[in-house]
Amino acid sequence: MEFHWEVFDKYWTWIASGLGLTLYISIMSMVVALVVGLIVAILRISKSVPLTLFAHAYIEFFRAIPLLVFIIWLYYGLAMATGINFEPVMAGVICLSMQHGGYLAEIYRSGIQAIPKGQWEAAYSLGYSPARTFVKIIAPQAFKIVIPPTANQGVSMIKDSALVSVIGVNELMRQSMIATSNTFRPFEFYTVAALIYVALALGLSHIAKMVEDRMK
Amino acid sequence: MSDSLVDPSVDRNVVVSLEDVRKSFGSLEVIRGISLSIRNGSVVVICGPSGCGKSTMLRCINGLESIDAGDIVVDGISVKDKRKLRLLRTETGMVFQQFNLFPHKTVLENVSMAPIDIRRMSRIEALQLSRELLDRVGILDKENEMPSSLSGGQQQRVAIARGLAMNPKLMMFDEPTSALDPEMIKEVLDVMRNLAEDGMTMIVVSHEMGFAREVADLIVMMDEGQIIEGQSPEKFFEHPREERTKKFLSQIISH
Repeated sequence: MEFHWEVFDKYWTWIASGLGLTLYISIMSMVVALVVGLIVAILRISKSVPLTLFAHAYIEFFRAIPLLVFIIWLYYGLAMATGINFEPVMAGVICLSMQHGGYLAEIYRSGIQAIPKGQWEAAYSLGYSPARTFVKIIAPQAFKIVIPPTANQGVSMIKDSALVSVIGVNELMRQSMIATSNTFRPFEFYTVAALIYVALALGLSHIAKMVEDRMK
Repeated sequence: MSDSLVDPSVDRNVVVSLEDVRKSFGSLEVIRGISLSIRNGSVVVICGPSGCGKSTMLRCINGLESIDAGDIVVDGISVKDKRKLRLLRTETGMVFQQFNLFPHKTVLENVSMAPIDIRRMSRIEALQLSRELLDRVGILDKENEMPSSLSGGQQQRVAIARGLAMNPKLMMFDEPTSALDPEMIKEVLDVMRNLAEDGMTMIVVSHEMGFAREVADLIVMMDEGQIIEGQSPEKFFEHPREERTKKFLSQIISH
């Protein structure tokens, strides 16, 4: 097999702009997912039965639904059913952050519950409220525990962002597909796309490692 | 024995009073009608076989466990008054078997954070107070260490200082030496002894009978969720009334 890298002379700007959009979607989705995950996790461990049930339903639903189905359903289905029309990028960010928010909620929940009950009790016995105990005592300890699985989730999300290509978002995957169909050089473009995804994943892992080391 | 040892209505010096307290976990009733009054400055040691409800009773006093019936009043505040529960807790220091220090905070921060956050004390004042207390429990040289680098005995002394930093009316100790290696028990008991001598009101769940004999004003024997005997140390050890007390004492002293 021969590689014809010269196809990039013409298409590298396409790939670069695709990479830019992939980064944008991934970062936006990750930020929103972190917030969604934290809120759902707190609801999940709250003492209120309705809130716990809601959080439980949220997690089960978004964990079960295939992301591709969710994206198509939200972008096309919702528009047809209700007339609510999201921008494709917006629809992608919503789907990614809702689903990964569900995964992250479970990660956070297990991180919070990994902190011994005695930590809550020690703070309560000093007069701390539950909310303040969470912020000052529990969250800082749980944070260290959830860094590695959160980074994992981020890596998974970067790869999942390729699925947004199906609703016409010109991110890295779709740009590679278009360039391939224009040039008939799939291996060149998909190899490069793969290398870029790997590089992004490694970069994120590295950042997580640095944060983890600084916490120690 | 369901009658109070001291009637709270006639004694203004009562810091804690329990009145016919009941508590169940599911279908298991672990506290079955306990009444007890503790006067300012007195030291009460609670003993009894494991599962007798002594730790649960302690945890009911500062509301870590809710009670099903009866009432507990600490310094005029009922544990049933949910709005004042946090206030009650600030008046009630608690030392746990497993220390429960905050592992992400230094020794000094462990002691000073509640005065700053809850008592709204200035940082400078809180740090000064905390250093005085760390000095009092003999561990000032470790102020900048993390709890994990301390021995069990040292951690427990920090936990005592942390409780004292809120200037509580009452200090409760839930088996404070049970998780310690034998050679560290004395250093913790010495701190507690000094605290008692300084007039702190204390409730101590412990099997340290030497400490009880020397420091306690009242020793309470519990079994199956009830107080079966409450005596001065002399009477408790020399002339226990109950067969179960005799049996318990022979078991823990003979080993």
